[in-house]
Amino acid sequence: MPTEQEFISLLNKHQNIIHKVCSIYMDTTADKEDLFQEVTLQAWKSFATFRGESQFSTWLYRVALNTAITFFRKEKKRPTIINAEVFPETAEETAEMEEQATAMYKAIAELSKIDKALVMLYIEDYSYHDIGGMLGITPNNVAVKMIRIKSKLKESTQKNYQF
Amino acid sequence: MELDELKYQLNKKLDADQPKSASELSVLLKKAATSVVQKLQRSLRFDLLANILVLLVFIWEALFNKLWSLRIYFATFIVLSVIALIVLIYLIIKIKKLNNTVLPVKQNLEQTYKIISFYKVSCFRLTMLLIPVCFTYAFLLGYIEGKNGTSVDYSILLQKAGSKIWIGIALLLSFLLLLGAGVYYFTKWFLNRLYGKYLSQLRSLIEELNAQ
Repeated sequence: MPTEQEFISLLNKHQNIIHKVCSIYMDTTADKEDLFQEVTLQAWKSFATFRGESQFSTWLYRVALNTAITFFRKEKKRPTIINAEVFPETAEETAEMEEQATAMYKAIAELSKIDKALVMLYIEDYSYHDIGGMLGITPNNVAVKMIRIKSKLKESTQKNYQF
Repeated sequence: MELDELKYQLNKKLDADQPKSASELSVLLKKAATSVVQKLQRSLRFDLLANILVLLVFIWEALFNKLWSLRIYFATFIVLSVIALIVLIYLIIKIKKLNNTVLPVKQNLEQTYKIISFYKVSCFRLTMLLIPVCFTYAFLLGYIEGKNGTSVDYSILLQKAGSKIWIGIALLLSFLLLLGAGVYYFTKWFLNRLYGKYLSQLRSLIEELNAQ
């Protein structure tokens, strides 16, 4: 029987996964907090079924994505706001790179929930096989979808970003 | 500008939120979940409780009511309540199982859709089925009981009504039709308001995953 302490310790180590999922799916701090809580609860409820067959991070990704995709908020009429806190200035990053990343982030925010999940796992360097396993689709389907998403993002960022 | 070129930057930016402490995480485990599946689970539990209470009333009436027609009427609904009870327990077990298992996204969406859609359709069909069953059954049992002399005899009432009988029948039919239509539209509206939008969102997500 898994203990709460065991779970908290694992979650503490991998909580960045939940933060990432919340950042990509929600645009306000309050919504991110709500989703973070929901994912944490869901993970805790399902923790008894975690048998260590896959890595905890992979398992947590699956829980987080399942929760985020089925987490429907009441429609609020508001523009998509890109939270400035998400983009802290760092010394290494040039202003241009920052702008490009902001444009790309805006483009990702406009994607569908499923496409967001694909992008999220892709930038985490999961293989098409692993992504397919987590989403329940074939690696071929992942590859086809990724080609489409990449071209959509390129088109969208070209519109948002002034070269 | 390609997604691959910005992988590192995006990853770092998405990771920028302040980490929570172990005690903060522990507090989160004590809170209540708000997902639609959790809400459905709560509403099913409420339905189950209401069903048990109604079942107890039906059992009481079936055993102790003075009129045999009502005893039969309630005994029949005991059977229907038991069937509803079994369906509710089955759904609660299914939802609990779904909540505690971590499935691939597509399977999870399909299972959630299947359960909620089954609940919505079952609720609607059962309500619709009960409208004519209740009317016909109550009328028939009342008629038989009246004939046996232990209750109001409809045939005597019909004789007394004379030529005005058709007006009475028309009024009764209009009332039944209005009541039936009211229940039909209200149930449809209520279930759609609760689950309709969620189901259509789930369906479009499944379709998107299936599409190449």
